[in-house]
Amino acid sequence: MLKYMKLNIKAKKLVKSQCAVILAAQDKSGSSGRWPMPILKSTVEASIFSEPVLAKFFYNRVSTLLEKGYSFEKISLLFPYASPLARLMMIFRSRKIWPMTADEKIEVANWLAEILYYHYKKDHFVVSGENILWDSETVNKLSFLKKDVVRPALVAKLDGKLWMYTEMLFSRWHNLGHEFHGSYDIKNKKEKLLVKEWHDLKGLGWNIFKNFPYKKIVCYEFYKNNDVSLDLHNRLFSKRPIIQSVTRCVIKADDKILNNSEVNDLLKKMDDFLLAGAKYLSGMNKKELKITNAYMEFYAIKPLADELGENWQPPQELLMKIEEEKLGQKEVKLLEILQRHYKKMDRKTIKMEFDPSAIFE
Amino acid sequence: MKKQKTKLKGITACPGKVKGKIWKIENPIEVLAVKKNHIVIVPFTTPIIALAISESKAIVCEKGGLTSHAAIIAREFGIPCIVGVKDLLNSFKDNQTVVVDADHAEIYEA
Repeated sequence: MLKYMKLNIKAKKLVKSQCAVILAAQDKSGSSGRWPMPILKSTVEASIFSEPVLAKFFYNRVSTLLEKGYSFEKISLLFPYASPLARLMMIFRSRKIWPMTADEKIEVANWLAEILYYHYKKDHFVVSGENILWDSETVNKLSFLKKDVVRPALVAKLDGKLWMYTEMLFSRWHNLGHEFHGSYDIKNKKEKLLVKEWHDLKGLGWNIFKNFPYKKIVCYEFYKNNDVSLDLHNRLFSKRPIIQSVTRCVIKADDKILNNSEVNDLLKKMDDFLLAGAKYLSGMNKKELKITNAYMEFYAIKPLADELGENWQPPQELLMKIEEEKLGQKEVKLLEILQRHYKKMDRKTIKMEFDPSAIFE
Repeated sequence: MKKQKTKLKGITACPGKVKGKIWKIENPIEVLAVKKNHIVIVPFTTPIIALAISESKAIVCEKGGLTSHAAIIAREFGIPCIVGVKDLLNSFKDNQTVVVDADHAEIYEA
């Protein structure tokens, strides 16, 4: 008799966090409009092509590293940020068509949880709304914490525009370009610190984005009297806008601390990039959107490919499959089911899709 | 008989209360020029119209929940936002003056 592997404790917790995030994303209006809708019927229309291949590549690459003697902690260190990797939890919805055994599918979840685990200093997998990636020693060592160089209103504009920019840059996969973490307690202060790291700001090297002035911008935002929380996929919630509770902000771009005037200059420059990005995205057809999606999905596991000296980009066969719009019978059937679910998901369908130990009917 | 003022309810994505003129965007995948100080009403937001609405006073969407694109953008900018407002686009006209009371998840004629 075939013996199925079970999810480990960490993976169970990760699945719980994933299901909670998806449940929170449901809304009363039914199908929530989301880019690249309405060009695609749903985001799954693109992911159905790439998720099975991505799952296999993730499995093979982690498997090779483990065989080479890497520990999960060492693999974890290859990933500078937690949330892009956590995004892989989305791929379980297509596990029915993954070219893998049942055991291997469960192993993907177990390994993902093991690797992610080392990123969090507490509240693993952001179950309770905290994304604690730094220890208190690191936070208290920040040498510029006493400076107050940028007006909060400017920081709100910068955050808003950076959010839009990362979403354009990574075509809806915004958290490939940001990691918000905290909130951290500040020693001897009543303030809390929220860190917004905007990274990989030149994207995949595409012409319209490659000349962005900085590779990375970090916003250190200190606030009081607000409830701020994050989820597994790095979405931020607050009882009231952060801007209304911010006490001081420091902006670091690459290695430079920016002043008000420099932030203003950056905001002006950003408008040009945002306009170019809007034009670029609006010109994409269905096929191009699906291909772009494949690139973004594979970019999330780029560190594994880099470590093994492999090409991180989606394989040619996958790109050809998208080009030819070749979906098999099973894939078409699954796509229909997922698109039906997509309109409105309840606890049962969410568990069915994202808990790899559940039976997908 | 006095005509009753239109008032619709949704979900508060970012609190706050403002009064202003409506900018109705029916096609969120068309590149638009930036308009300042309007109340944007839209089926849902996309990265394509994000720059255009970056100088708006408030965002109100027919679709979407607390983690939708519009909700996240509004929270980053710190502007009022209501999402999941059924029949929004059919109920208000372009340039109409309205109040967005995101504290109570309401949009109504001024």
